[in-house]
Amino acid sequence: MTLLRTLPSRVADTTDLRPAGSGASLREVSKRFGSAAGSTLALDSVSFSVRPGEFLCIAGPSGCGKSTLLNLLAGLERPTSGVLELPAGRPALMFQDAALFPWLTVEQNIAFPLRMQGAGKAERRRRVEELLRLVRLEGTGGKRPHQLSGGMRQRVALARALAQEAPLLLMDEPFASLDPLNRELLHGELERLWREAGLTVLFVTHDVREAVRLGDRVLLLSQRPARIAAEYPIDLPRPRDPEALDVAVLTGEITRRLREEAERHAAA
Amino acid sequence: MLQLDAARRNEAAAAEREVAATTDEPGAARRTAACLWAAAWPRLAAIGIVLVAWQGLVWARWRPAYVLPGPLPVLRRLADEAGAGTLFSASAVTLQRALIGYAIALVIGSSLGLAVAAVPLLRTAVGALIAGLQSMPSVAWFPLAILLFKLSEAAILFVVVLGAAPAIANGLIAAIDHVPPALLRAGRVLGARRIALYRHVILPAALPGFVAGMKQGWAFAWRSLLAGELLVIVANRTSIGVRLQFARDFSDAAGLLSWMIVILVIGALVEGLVFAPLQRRLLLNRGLIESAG
Repeated sequence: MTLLRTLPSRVADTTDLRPAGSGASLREVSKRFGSAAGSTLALDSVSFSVRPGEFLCIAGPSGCGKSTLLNLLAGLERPTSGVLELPAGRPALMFQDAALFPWLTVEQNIAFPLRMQGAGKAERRRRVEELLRLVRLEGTGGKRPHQLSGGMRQRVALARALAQEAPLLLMDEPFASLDPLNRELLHGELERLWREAGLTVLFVTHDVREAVRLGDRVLLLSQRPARIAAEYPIDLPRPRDPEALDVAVLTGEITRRLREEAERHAAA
Repeated sequence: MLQLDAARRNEAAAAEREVAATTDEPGAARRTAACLWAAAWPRLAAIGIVLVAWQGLVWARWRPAYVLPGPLPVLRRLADEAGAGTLFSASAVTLQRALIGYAIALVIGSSLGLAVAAVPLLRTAVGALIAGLQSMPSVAWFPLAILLFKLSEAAILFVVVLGAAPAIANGLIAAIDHVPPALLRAGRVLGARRIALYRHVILPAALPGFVAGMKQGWAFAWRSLLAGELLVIVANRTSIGVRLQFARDFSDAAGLLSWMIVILVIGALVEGLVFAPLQRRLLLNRGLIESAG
């Protein structure tokens, strides 16, 4: 039976009822691409949930179907089977490439989702100012994306995603193309925003260290077709120093498990 | 072509850059003058070289002077036409036709292009036809145009529109096809659906390619128009084409050359004063070219 739910206000006939919060859950969600003859299974009966206010990281080998998972959650694709429960309202999605609109200024980029929602001019200006302050980009509102550095562009993309005021923020390797210093800086910023704004974040990465640095929990995906291979709660105090021993030990452990997973499938 | 160029420029300029704006200093006026001169002298030099080569041909007596007059008699003739007012009246007639025809072509071409780009069925049906129309020489339409509209303004406009509209439509179709998928995805995720996606993402993203198509459309319109003015002569409408035809009929080589110069200069002015600045601004705004200086 194929069942797709995107409106939690109407989840009456499912057993897994949750308060109308910002969490999301997948139950035995599978995704198959292509026709019956030449199809590939990208997700194999994946079940997990994101708790409201949680910072959940999903790590996995490249090409394992992480982006497919996010596309499903963002409503860009539909699952082949399984139940998908999302909070009311469209989740925000941030990409590896900032994907800013080059013909708009920084301000206009951030105001874009507000415009789509039909917010008035004064309201847009107020929110944009607030968001610029939040991502520490005051004074750059009039610039064009090409005049910014890679790190600044990702900050704008983050502000644009936050402007949606979505209950759930999906992030698809958003800092993968940044240099280590900028990445570390943005990790700190994101952690601060998550705590201050009470966001619920689902963060996908292939970098285990990044996952351990940021996550309340790390889910490890298997090689394609993706299943949940392991789950690690990260009970380390924040903010975490990626060079600290406890972080490094856990990173090592998860990385070993990831390698096993990759090898097991290479042998099979 | 433009798409490729722009992409290459974009790659070359991918490194981060700062745009410095320093215009309110005392030396600004002098710098503007220097800038103008830097832009002007290569053009002036090129014109000078052409004039010298032309005069050289005349001095070498390659053709007799009544067939190929030198630059001086031709320029003097041009000044006479300007003094008599014929230069402006003829240009006005021709430019008026060009503007009306181009405006119609712009409306038809862009709506057709948008429809074909957005509706897959339409693309299958007429996509190849529009591409084919673009390669059809506009002169080939004139016999039909004269049959349909007699020797009238309508016959000329018909051909101008048929010359320019396919180029504009094709430009828009190609531009929409080349909108980066990442921007479409971003637009959808941020809540732009259907018409809003076209209005706020696809069309702005396609604008540079569309302007390139508009520019090509103008070139086709101008060419078709001049061909039309030679073939379709409307009474009491003394256009540039009519002047050119008169000069030919009277074996007036200096007149012929001076009207050809008028055609060339108008073409260059439209390119230089309308399309080049428009394209430059678009590409600068999007960081697809570096700002000079």
